[in-house]
Amino acid sequence: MCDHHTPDSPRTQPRFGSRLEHGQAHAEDHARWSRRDFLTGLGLVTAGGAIMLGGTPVRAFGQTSLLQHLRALETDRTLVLIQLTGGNDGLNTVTPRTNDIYYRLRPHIAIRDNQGIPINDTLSLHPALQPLKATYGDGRMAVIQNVGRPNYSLSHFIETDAWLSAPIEGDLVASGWVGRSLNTEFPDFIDHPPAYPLAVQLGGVSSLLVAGPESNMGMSLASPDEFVRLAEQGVLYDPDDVPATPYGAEMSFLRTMANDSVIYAEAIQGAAETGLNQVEYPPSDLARNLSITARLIKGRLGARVYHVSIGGFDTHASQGSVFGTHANLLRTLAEAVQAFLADLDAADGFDDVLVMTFSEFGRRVEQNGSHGTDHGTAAPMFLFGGVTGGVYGTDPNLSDLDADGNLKFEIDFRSVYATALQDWFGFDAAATAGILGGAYETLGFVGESAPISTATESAGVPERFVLEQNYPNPFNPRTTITYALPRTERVTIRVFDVQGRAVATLVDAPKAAGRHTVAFDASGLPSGFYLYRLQAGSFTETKTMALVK
Amino acid sequence: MDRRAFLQSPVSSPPRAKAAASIPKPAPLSISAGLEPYTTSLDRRHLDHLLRRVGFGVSLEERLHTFVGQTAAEVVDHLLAKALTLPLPPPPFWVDRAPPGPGASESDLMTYRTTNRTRLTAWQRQWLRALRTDGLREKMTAFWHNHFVTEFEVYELAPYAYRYLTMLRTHALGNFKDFVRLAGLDPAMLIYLNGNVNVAGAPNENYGRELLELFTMGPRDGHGTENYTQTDIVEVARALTGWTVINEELSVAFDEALHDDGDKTILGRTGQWGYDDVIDILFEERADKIAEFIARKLYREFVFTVPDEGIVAGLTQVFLDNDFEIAPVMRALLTSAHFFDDLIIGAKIKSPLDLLVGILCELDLDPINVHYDKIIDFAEEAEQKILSPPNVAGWPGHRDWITTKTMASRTLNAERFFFGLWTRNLGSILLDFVEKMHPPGDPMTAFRLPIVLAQHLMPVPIESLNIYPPTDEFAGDLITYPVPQEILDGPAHELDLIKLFLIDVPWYEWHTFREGAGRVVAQYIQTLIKYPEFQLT
Repeated sequence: MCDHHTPDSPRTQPRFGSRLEHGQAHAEDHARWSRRDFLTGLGLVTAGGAIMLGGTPVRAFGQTSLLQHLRALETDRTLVLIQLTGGNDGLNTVTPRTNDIYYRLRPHIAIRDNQGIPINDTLSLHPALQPLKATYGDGRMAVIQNVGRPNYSLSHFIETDAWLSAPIEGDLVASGWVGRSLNTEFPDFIDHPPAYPLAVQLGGVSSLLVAGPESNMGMSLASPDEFVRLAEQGVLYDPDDVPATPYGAEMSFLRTMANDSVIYAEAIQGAAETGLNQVEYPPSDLARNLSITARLIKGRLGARVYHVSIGGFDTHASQGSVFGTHANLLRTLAEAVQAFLADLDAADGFDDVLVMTFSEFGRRVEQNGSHGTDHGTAAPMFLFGGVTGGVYGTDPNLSDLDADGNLKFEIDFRSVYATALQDWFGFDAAATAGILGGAYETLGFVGESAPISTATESAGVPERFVLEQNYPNPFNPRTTITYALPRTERVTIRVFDVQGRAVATLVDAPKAAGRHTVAFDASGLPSGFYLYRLQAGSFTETKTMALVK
Repeated sequence: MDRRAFLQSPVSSPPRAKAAASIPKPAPLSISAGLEPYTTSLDRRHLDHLLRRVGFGVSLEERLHTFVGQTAAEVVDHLLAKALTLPLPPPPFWVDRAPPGPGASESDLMTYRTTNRTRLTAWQRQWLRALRTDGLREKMTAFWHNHFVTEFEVYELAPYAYRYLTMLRTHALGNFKDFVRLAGLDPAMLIYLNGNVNVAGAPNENYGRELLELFTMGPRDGHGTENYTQTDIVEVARALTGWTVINEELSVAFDEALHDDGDKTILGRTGQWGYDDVIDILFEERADKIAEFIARKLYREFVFTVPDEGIVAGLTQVFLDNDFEIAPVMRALLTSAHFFDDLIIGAKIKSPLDLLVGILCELDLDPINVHYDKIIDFAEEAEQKILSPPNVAGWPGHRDWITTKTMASRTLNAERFFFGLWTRNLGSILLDFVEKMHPPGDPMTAFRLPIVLAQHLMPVPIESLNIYPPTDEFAGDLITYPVPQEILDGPAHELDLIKLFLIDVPWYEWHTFREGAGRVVAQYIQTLIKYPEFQLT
């Protein structure tokens, strides 16, 4: 570490950067050590470790409650992305039921006007979306029409990458729009990563979505087995299932050590312990991954974004109509989403979830020779949960197609993302434009907009976030806590006992830049160590104090 | 630094997790194969093993072209010849820039100090580039760096770091006796182990002790017999007096006035011994002990952490028969049936440098400076601070590299390091790479490549990995383009790896000529890098 914090080391010459007078080098030294401290602190989120807070090993009190409570404070609005892989046939998902061209170009696969679920004068949902009918009726489902992107290619790869990345022109790093947004929200992620994952990807999805400018901002649970293993055993690798050879012995050793150091293992385990599914889910992979998502959300994991997928939408042949391949896919989607929303509804306090579907492209307006549809362009997107329900955008214009016979998009997909970032997560317009590489119109589908976080920096305000030691300490029964904010932030300060139970909330409101003081009266509490935690935006810090009666 | 001072200081290594304590220590090997030559021409697995152990990873070029179909003797002779003839890297411009002398201004000192640090980083970076390209010589150099240990933090001057590393390189496969003679007069070493303050009337035993204990013979031989006494150390120290380092001139000088010219008795021989006499006496009186000590250390570095004493004895004899030439010992070891026994392949834990430089070697990547700087940082986080081992005994290696802390940082940083290379350009570089690995015209590439890539990166059989593939069906229109039955009927672990590779991409869509295909490869490699088994070599 740095030598000025400890008695002189036996070295005759101090390590460069380890003395205060080395200035910048010292600051960098700190940053590096902070990261290393985090890694050391993995003990905090690993099975075997014990962290010391105020001299008391937290693990000694069993359970993972402390971490969970700390995380709970950070749980904010959540976005669940459902990727429909392969290119969903938008025209048969939301059918232009009064449009003659639709019926003329799709003689074998069109959904008849009396077969769908009408949502307005001109549009129906595919009948297989029946499980979502009530959701739409309740105003908890929005349909965004004709979403696409310019310069489309009809290639699965290129389009998928574009939707996941929303690439910024001239940016050399292949990052994803969610990765960039998390990096904006947590700019010191690498040096001070939170103890929980910021994004969770479940099943077979590309990590491009959560790739930030410098590192992967999320964690991946490739299969439900991986989740179950982590949740039930807290470990990923089997140290016993190795060959009885010298290299097998080393594999066993490394797996044991890897299990002890899996980041987020305890975060996942803790959330899975408390977050329970309260409804029956249908037996699909998507439903299974959404059920895990619900558990993690209800267990207050703290992740901002979840990413799941359902494949098979590349319906080139025999895609069916009211029944058939495409209908089965939509039914699977509808049943899974319906169960997921019902599961969240079954418990109080989980309203802050927005679900978004997307697919790399829609499909050709005209059916092909094998009763399927080829790669197309614009398609509708669905949003569920925290939305103002209804249809956004105009109906697809089937009489004005491009040279390939595809729809011309009307809403840029980045407008949908911009709406999620700005209205759902509360990024300001400038930050949103930075994440998406330009300003895009927002669409107003978010039910209740988050307060926009603003950065107001002026002379005289503190340069950084500070949580000071309480004074007096030890105390009985009153003490004061001082903190400083470099900008206006929503601030919470809560007090926990060492078993992680929240015993008081001292602040829970936006506060202006500057120094603030808050009093804490512990009259009703027994003697002992307590933790107090400041959260202001992405900054969090916890300190200990001692109540001696 | 004085090793004992270090050991007595309150600095302690981080606590191990309990689980680790319950894991049995590595057991001695029971391999019947000895030093007799391994004569079979090398298959992929055995060639990979050789190239990983004598370098920092398998380069595709070497595997596919240079060495294809050759025997161990042919490959090793080629590697040795290359290592012995490879020119030294050109000296940096600052090798003769001495620090300001007495009376220099504070700002001159500060300028030199800052520049000195920059130069060290440049020199470390140069070494990392050499590790990537120069295989055996640099692997040996790294081995000797961990033998004739010095710490930059103590000698502090970048020109000395240059000289020190150049000395190691020059003798990495040369004559060990000459090597020992030079090591003690290296300015970095003279400063590090206080040879420069070892003077007549006030001897400093530091270097003398380590010369015997760590650099040549060790305190005891394989039978537990003591190789020397404390008196021998005192007498050796007296004989070594008189060598000084003049920083302002960046020079080493012998000062007759500081040398103790009295009689000394070393290992039973009495005379007015000086520096060269000490080396001669050690190698004459304890030749077999020195040969055995070094042979055992080479075995542990290149074969397995628990030495096979039969092999060590054989190597000792080769060392003695060749008058302490190092190359013949390496040749005997690296061409032996013992070295190629299946049991030891993959049974060694990579050093942090093996891990990080290995990513560059095994993927044929030659990144820009900033990525080499990352290796310096990440290796330090994994407790291998380049040119600054923790103490004079060096890094103990193997399982000592791994704590829960370093395991986390190794995994995270290996991934992060690769991620840092992951620019849009990387995709096309990787596609060129995998096209060399597997013929791009093969319509089954999407199924074959993940297997070949995993075999390339994993030293252990891929069927022994714990794979968590997506459970979803293969993506795409499987009615029109069903996955071939032979793939579905193939081994389960291969199917798992294929799913892990393709993730959400339809198999019939993945071709190396498709834009975006490189992203799939990069993501797959990133996943493999995180497996605990990637830490093995």
